[in-house]
Amino acid sequence: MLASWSILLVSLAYLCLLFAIAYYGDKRADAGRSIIANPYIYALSIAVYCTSWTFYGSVGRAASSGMDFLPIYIGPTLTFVLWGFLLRKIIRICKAHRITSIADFISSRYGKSAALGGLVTLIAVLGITPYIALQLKAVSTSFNVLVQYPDVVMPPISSNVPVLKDTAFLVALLMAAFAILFGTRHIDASEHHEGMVAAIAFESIVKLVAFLAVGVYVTFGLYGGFGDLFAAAARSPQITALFTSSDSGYGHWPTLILLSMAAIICLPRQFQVAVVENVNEDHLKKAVWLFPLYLLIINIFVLPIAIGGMLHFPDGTVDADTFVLTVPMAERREGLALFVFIGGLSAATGMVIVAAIALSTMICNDLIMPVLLRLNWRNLAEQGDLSGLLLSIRRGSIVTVLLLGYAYFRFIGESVALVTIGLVSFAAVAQFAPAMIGGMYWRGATRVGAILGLSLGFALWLYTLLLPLFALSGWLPIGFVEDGPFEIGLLRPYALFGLDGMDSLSHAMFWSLVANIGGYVLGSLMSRPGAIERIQGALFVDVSGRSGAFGGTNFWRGSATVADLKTLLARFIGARESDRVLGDYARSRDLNLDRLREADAALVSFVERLLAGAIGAASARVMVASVAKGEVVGIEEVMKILDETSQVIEYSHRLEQKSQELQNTTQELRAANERLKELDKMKDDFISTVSHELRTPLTSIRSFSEILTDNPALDTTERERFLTIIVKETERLTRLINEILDLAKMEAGRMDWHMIDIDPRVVIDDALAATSSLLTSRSISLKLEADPWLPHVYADRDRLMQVIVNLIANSVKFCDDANGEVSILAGQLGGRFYLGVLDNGPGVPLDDRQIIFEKFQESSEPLANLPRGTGLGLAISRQIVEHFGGRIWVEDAPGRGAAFSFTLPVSRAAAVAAPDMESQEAL
Amino acid sequence: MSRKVLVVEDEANIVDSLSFLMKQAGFEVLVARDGDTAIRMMQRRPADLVLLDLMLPRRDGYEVCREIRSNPEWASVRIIMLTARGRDLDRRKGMQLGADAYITKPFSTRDIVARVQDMLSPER
Amino acid sequence: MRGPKRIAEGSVATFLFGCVAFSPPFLAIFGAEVFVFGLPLLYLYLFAVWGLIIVLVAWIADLGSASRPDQNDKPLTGRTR
Repeated sequence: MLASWSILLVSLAYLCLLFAIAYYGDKRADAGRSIIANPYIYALSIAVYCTSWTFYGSVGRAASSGMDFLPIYIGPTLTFVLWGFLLRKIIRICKAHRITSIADFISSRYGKSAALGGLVTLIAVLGITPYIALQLKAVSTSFNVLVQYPDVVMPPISSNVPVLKDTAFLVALLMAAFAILFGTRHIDASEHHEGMVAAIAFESIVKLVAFLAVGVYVTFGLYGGFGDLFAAAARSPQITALFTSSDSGYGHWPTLILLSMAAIICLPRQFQVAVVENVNEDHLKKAVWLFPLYLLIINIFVLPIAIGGMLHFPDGTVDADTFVLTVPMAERREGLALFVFIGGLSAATGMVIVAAIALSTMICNDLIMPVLLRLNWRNLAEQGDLSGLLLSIRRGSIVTVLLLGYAYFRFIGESVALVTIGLVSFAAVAQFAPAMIGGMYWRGATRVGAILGLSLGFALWLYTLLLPLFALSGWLPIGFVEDGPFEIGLLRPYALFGLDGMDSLSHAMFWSLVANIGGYVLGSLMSRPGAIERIQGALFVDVSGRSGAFGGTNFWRGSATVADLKTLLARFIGARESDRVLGDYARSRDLNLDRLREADAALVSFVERLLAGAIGAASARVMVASVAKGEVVGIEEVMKILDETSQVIEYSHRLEQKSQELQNTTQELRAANERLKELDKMKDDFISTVSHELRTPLTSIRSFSEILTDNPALDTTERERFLTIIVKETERLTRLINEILDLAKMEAGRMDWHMIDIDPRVVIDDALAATSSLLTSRSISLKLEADPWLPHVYADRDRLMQVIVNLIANSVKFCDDANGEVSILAGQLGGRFYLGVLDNGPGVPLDDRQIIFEKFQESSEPLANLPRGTGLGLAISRQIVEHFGGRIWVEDAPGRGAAFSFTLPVSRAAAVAAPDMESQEAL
Repeated sequence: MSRKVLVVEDEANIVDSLSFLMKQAGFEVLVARDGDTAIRMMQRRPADLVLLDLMLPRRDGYEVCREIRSNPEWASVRIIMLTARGRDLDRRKGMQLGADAYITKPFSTRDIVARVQDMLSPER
Repeated sequence: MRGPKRIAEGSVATFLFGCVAFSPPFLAIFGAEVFVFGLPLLYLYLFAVWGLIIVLVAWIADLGSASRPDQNDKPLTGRTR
């Protein structure tokens, strides 16, 4: 015998245990030692998805339509397969913007629109109400069934019982109380409820174990395992039909899968546990398979229990939704039955608490606060601590939500199966999916589109799904469903515009989603997004990285005083909490907020985000705007920042490089220009000098030619002399031209060099032969002192000879007039070939020893009666020697005169051969 | 009494040709191979006209010209500058320093003789 | 950048596989009145495909963490004698 008080006692004890867990979880969270910060707790908390619908309803569904209970769990699995695209992105967006609910998410995405937030909240509340009713129905039914133990009797219809004696009503109040205790003890800026999460995770374990216990009992206790059970089932054609091709086919499976795919992220409570309560993105990696695994395990025994129930109660007097409970009861398993009841209570409580908290946050932040602020925001903003007001609004919302659920249950729920009620809720929240997912991937989506889509989708949901339920429950004339309103056949809610032959759910989903997506896309295309809309759109679509790439971006141009912001924050989250978070902020940025008077844009944005956590994005914006001077940055500037942030960074990077390059180039150009100017001047000088050098012999040639022409009577000797001068000057002119060309070629690097291995001795002999006429024309003695063995050099033979001839000619020209002596020394110097030409002339003054090798620079010492050189010989010699890798210089000769010398590197072949030569000489 | 012409030039062949031309025209010819010698010769035996090359060892033609012009005793001395440099800049510089004419090498022998004769004619 | 890309590709492939495997035609095929090891074929098929998808998701999600460089790949610096 299970007395109602003992069931109540156990239930209360269980709920207190839950509360204790929640309390402990909150304490640990406050102490900074979270007990929920692991992927297992996270996955278990997501399992709040499994409610009474799963616990009791799935078996009921299985008993009537076989495997049809399953797609509701396959959908979430498929959504989780795409976690990398959806769930993770949603989590990142929410963390970056401190989003606290799905209403907040959608409102925030479309320009922090209060209207949109309110609309989403409204749809959510109306949509979830049947779902909460479902839980109330399940708990009250299971209680009323269990109370009859050991008899299995279906409880009376609630509507015949006074409200205050109705179990469901008491359950609703009890759950409201718990939801208030769990979720609204204080206002938290981060809007995390760690204790609640811990309790939910615990509940998930309890309901799983309870359900498995029944499953194992039925399969292995009542029957000898799966084989035996299915064999027994196979004997009944009615049961066999459940797991083989059914008449209804599988046409509605895609609808159910799609619905549940949307529900796992769009249901406010799923959004709460999977997104808002997520403490670490990495937990997702384990949860994405742990949660589907949980779903799989809890579903294994659904069909066996359904079969067991059907075999046990073949007459159909027992509601299949209660099989989980009634089969153990019929078998007199008192303890198991009680455990099952607790499991079912767990499933219902978990859902109701999380849903109520999520909905109350939405109602408070997105419905009531914006209205209050709009009505009298200035007054409100100037009031003292508002956190109490916020808590009151939330508590009131929780009670309201549960009472709405109870009302729905009392008026409609009795006549409809659990799963049908749940699917109506799923269809409602699925309306959020286009605006939500579209907003994450489509920048162009606008507020107008979202509002239009949501409104149309919601209206069609209302018309094709909810209103017919009212009609079926007798609250509307049944003719509304059968003949359409005002008997207009085309408007029949189950066959809108003549679309017949679909199940009512697929039909409703088709029309509502067509209208929703159509309105969303068309509305977005036809409207222009506002400033904040475009900003938020860009932020949502481009969110990336753990912290959110734009986490620090702020769009306040103006500023507020720190004191104003502090006061504002304290009003909503309490003075202590606000001091703490602002203190953390200041420390992390190395700021002293006490000394800082004006808050910068970053701090204003930080406070706005904090407030958004407490009162929602739209309200937070209004509140911050009330204390912040200045406005949002202009749209052009912001879009420049956002649309092109990456490009701008890239571009400015490139620009920086470019300007650096430009600077370098400019510098190079300036240097080149200097060099060019210098070269130009040099060229000018060169031409002027060349012109001078050419004109000099030309002058002589022209003069004597004219003299000879004008004086035909000149005597022969005179004539001979003048002609000789003309010839000599012509030769000089030719030589000059050749040398100028040579030099120009060498300087331009266009000289053809025929580099070979040369014995310098041969070249010296040739040079002496070539200059012998110079020597004989004047009484000059020439000595050659050469080493018997000279190292070979690698050079152009003709050019090397040109150098030697130049040097000899130079020496001959400058050596002592009366007693000229020129000596040539050849040998080695420091491992190089050395050649010196010494004269006994006046020598070269120290100052001239460098410039003497420049073009047209002869020593300034006048040499009266000597023929002038071209002034290019030494310059050319230097060019040649340097080209061979050698060096040329002039110094004082021993005694008197100048010594022109050069060295050349020894050719490699000679360097190798040298030791042999030395050893030969030694022999 | 024949007029004296001082040829200041470092190129032996040009000195040769100028001497020949001036002697043939009936002038007494003096020769200096550099600027210093030119000044010294002027002090010893002042000439009536100086054929002055500009590119000279030691003291260049401009200096010689300046020197001559700075001495009032030589105020009547005519100076013809001879240069292988044909630039306007050089010509202007020479005229500023008080040269009477500026002849570019290679010169026409008839032209130079005519100029000298013109400058030293008794009519002037 | 290999890891994230492979996760994305693997995820999409698994998702498409699920869509096909749970499509009405396949369900009709496996809805035949056949028993395997005493279990209805459809029941077995659904849970097998589901389980396979879960294994795939677990494996793909693990790719991200497994793509970190292996500790054992460090060159041996110690002397052998």
